[in-house]
Order: sequence, then structure tokens, then C-alpha cells
Amino acid sequence: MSTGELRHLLLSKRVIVLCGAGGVGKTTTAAALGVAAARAGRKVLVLTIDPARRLAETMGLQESGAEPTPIPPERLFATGPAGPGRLDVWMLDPRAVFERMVFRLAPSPDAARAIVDHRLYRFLSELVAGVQEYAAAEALDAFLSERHYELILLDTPPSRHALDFLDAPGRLARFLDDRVVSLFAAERHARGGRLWHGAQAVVDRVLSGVFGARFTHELRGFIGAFGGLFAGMRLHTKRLRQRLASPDAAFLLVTSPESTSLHEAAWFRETLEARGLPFAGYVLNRSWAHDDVLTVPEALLEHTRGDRHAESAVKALSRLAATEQARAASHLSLLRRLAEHLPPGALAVAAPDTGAELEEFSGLVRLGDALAAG
Amino acid sequence: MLEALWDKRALLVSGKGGVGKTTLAAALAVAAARSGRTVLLAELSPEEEGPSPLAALVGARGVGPRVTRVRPGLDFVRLSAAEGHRDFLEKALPARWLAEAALRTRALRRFLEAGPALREMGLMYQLLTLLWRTRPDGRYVHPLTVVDLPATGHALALAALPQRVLALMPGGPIGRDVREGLDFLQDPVRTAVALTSLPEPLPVSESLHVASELRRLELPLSVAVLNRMPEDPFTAESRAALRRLLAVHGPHQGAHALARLDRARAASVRLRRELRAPLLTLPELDVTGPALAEALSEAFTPRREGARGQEALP
Repeated sequence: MSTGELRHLLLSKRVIVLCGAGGVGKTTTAAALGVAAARAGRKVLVLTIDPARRLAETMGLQESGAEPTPIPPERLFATGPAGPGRLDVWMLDPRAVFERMVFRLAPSPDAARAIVDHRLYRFLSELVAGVQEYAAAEALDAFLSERHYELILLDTPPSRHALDFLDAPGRLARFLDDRVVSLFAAERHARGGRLWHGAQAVVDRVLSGVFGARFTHELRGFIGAFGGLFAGMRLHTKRLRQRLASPDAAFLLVTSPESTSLHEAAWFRETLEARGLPFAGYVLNRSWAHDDVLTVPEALLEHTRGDRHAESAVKALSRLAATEQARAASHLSLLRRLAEHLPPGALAVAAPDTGAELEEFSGLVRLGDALAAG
Repeated sequence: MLEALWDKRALLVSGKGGVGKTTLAAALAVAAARSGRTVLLAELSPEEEGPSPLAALVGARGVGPRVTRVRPGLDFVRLSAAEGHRDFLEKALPARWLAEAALRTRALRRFLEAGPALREMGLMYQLLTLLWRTRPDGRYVHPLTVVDLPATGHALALAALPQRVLALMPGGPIGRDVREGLDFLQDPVRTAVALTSLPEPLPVSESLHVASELRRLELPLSVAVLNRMPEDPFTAESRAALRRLLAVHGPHQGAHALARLDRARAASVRLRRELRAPLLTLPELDVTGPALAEALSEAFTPRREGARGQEALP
């Protein structure tokens, strides 16, 4: 159903963002679609954070690189004729991206080094909500500016609400904006009225009362050094939002047949529409909504030759077939329901439960073909 | 095994995204409530906006930081960082007016919302506050709290948080409270961690990794739950016979079905062998959502009629 439309998306868009609850197979879907688009002739980048290691092995990648890694053409076109397309994959290392951003925005390399070497920086870069999301947004924006790739597939970070990658940079920027920073800064500023000084007095008492004097001192030093770096960051967020709202972009919602993930997909869709971001459709993943489920186990009966165990095996297989068929029927009706309430041009496609087949690159090729057959 | 879990004070349910962790948390809470406990089901998620699948599973109407009654013996709460910050400031600061002034200060509010790990600390603090709440007669309001943790990566960061915070700020009210919270979480008498997995190679590998991280953090892994185990209709003989048939017949989807069962069995064997914790296996059921939570909770509850039936036997 509508695999042709998905192929059309792959051939015409500049950026496709895959959203969905954790564990629904976003990374695999992004990789398979990237393979399909590259085999169809486009220059493609798949951008992903923290993927399952198995996928990295399938793609023949190192754990995480500082740069996108090209998939060798002989692997990409192992089956079928070679074409002009190419595929790069980048598993983002959020910490590396964040550190690079600090070096870019800091007034001098020494100033950047002072921040990065700070004890609190390590704490921040590991735990601050939004570092992964920030890294994804930053990298996406950079690649869209470069125009080196014709299509970028973004596998959103494994956060429950995948649109966080649009909000987190703003949150980080708000946290480190000048006013907040100056409240924490060690020296008292001349600027600001009585209200502002009142606020600073409260912050003083709260911080030392809660965190203890030593930590407060450390925190102030750090925030002082970090402050002011983030003005450039907010600008990017705005530009990225505009790009993602343009007709060049498409958001695909990946969901499994589980009700919890369907719930979230419905919520994602509302959020996308409320923000004016282009919702392009659903990928129903891990589903049995395909036509090669187990049928006619009776066909095996002709070989049983009266063997008692063989006959009971076929009987058992028939029970299994009944279960599989019931599941397939329910997933197909789920797919039809998803397809019923779509805006014009949006699609709903089912991806098979690929299980162990993704251990080889050819598995991704097959999945890509199944999703976006031409 | 389950009765022992009901006697804990906190049952933390963890697992990779998509393995059924949230449904399991709901089912465990419902089953514990049915066996007579007063249970608080708590959602701990760094993202507090959007729908709550957990609330939908148990039919909780109010989704928010206030504890709401869902059914007899079962309450629901979505933990909130802001609520935890309030609890903490009120307790840590010498005067209530100071806490209120602090919460009115925009810069401080922003700092608490977005500062490194402060959000997570707020969530943990509200959880601890709710755990310690007592009735006038001194008993706990909720003797058992079932916590639906975020997906693995986030959960491990959360679990590592107390130790990190202690390393950064050993003194002050935060240090004291964090140490108290850590003692609680590491105490196998009061706390149990349940790890959810699926009978597939990747989820099992990840579960084994989480189990070793939990050991490193000294958190008590009490039970692993292998979810959605497909029913295997074959005996050893009929399985061997089927393999022979498939070999003679040539391509047939039966081979695919058999491979899936074999994969599930291998995954289950590996988990049982390498995980040093009891393993509970749950069947693959063809329902989803609240119906699934209900069905699993029934699997956890000893059948009353069955028990009576046994008593009636000579």
C-alpha cells in the first residue's frame, strides 16, 4: 500500500525526519530508507544518534566517528546495477558535537579549553537534558547549509517526545542566556534595578543554603565562563525550524502496533500539525501487516508418509499459522485505520518484522525495497 | 516470587523502549493492589509533557503531579520536577518565605528547569517525598510504589545520578538527602528492580548490559521479565519431524515460523544462563493496551477460585 508514494518522498524531499516512541525501529527504518534512496540515485546522509550496535555492524561502521562514513558502492550496489547515488551514515557522538560547538562559539581556543576541562562541564555534557537533541539539531542545520547531500534522513534521538530536538536547544539557550548567567555570576553588576538586586540576593541565599558554599563557588565560575556563548545558537534554532516547516521537509511517524506507541504517534501528529511541520505519514513497523504470513501448512502433509511425529508437527504448525493469520488480519485492519484519516498526500505503509534478517546489509536493502518499491 | 515483590517499598520497572515496560509496570501495580496492597503507580519521565501511556493503561483520568485515585488500592502520579524542587526548597531552606521567593525568581526557576541534572533530581526528590509519606497512625500512605522508569539510557543516567551528585557536592542539605535516597535505593529489603526484556537477540544483549550496570551501581536487580514469549506448539520429536518435512518440501513459510521460535528459545536460554536473577516468562498475547495490562495482571494474581478448589480437595 502506497509504497510508491514513499518512493516519491525519497526522490523529492531534502530532509525526512523520523519520529516515534523509543524502540519502534526508527533507526532501522531510517537506514533502510537511506539505502533505498541512494540505490535510486540520490546522494544521501543518514544521521543517527545512539543506534543499536547491531545496525552499526550491519552498515559496517565504527562505533561513532567524527565525520560521516561512506558506505562503499560495492556494498550499496551488491545486487542490481550500480548508479550515481551514494550513501553516507553518521552516528553522532553528542559530546563531540557539543565540544565542537563550544570551540566555535568561544572567543579563543584557550577560553574553550577552560570550559571543556572544567569538572562541571563533564557533568553538564553527560546529564544536561538536551545535549543529544542539541547535537542532532546542530548537525542537521550544518548539513542543510552545506548542500552537499540531496537528502538527509534524521533518526531523532531516543527521547520519548522526539520533537524535543527542536525545543532542547532553545531550553539550553534560555538556561544560559545573559540574564540568568549574570544572576549567577560572581561579581555584582552595576546594571539592573532594585528588583534585579533583590533577585540576586535570593539566589545567593538559596544557592549557598542548598548547594553549600564550595559548590556554589564552582558553579558560579563555570556559568560565568559558559555565559554569552549561546546567542548564536538560538539563531540556528530559528533557521532550522523554518527549513523543517518548508515543503522540502517531511516528517514520518514510525510506530509499532502496540497501543502505547500508537498513542504517542497520534500525539506526535497533533504536535506536528500544531507547529506547522509537514506530516507525511505513518510507517507501521514490527507489523505482520504483509502477505507472506504462514499459510497452508497442510502442503507439508504430502511428505509425512504416515510418520506420527510428522503429522503432529503439521498439526502444531497449523495452530501456529492460525495465530499468525489472526495477527496479520488485525495489523492489516490497523493499517487501514491509520490510512483512513490522513491528510491529502500523506501515506501509511507497513514494514515487516525483520527479526534476525538485519544482520547483513542485504537485509536493509530488502527492507528498503519493501518500504519504497518503485 | 511476586509476593516477595509486593512486600518491597519501591519496585522500579526498567527496560529498553518497545519491550512492554510500561504495560508491565501497570500490570504489576494492578496485581499488587488486587492482592491487598495500597499501591502508588508513578511515572518517572524526564519529559513531562504530552500524553501518558501509563495513565491510559490503568484508566487514570488526571495526569499530573497530584496523586489521584484510579481504583480501590491504586493511585497514580506523574512525577514532576517542579514539585520536587518545591518539596526540596521548603525542606532545605531556613524559612518558608525564602523558598517561596526562590520559586518566584524567574532566573532560579529557569536554572532549576534546565540546569544539568536538576530536573532529574527534582523528579527523584518528589518520588522520595511520596515514598516517605505517612498516615496519622504512622503507617505509610503507600506501602508499595511501582515506578515506570524511562527507557534504559535515561534510566541508567538517573540511577547513576545520586553517586555523581555526592561526588560533586558531598555536603549541604542536598548531600544529606541524596545519601539517604541512595541508601534506600540500594537496600534489597526495601527496593527491587525489575528488568523487562524480549526473546530477541538484541533486547537480551541490552538487558544483560543493564544488569551489569545495575550491579556496578549496587542497585538490587530482583527479577527479569521475559515478555511476549511465543507459544511453542512443538515437542522435540515433532520439531525434528518438521525440519525433515521442510527440507524435503523446499521453500515454505513454516521455516520462517520455526526460525522465530528457535530465536526466542535461544534468547530465553541465554538470558536465563547469563543473568544472575530469577526470570519470569510472560506469554505473547494477542491484545494490546489496557486489555493487555489487565490480562498480565491476572497472570500475576493467584487465582482465588483455583485456591479454594485446591482446599476443597481431600
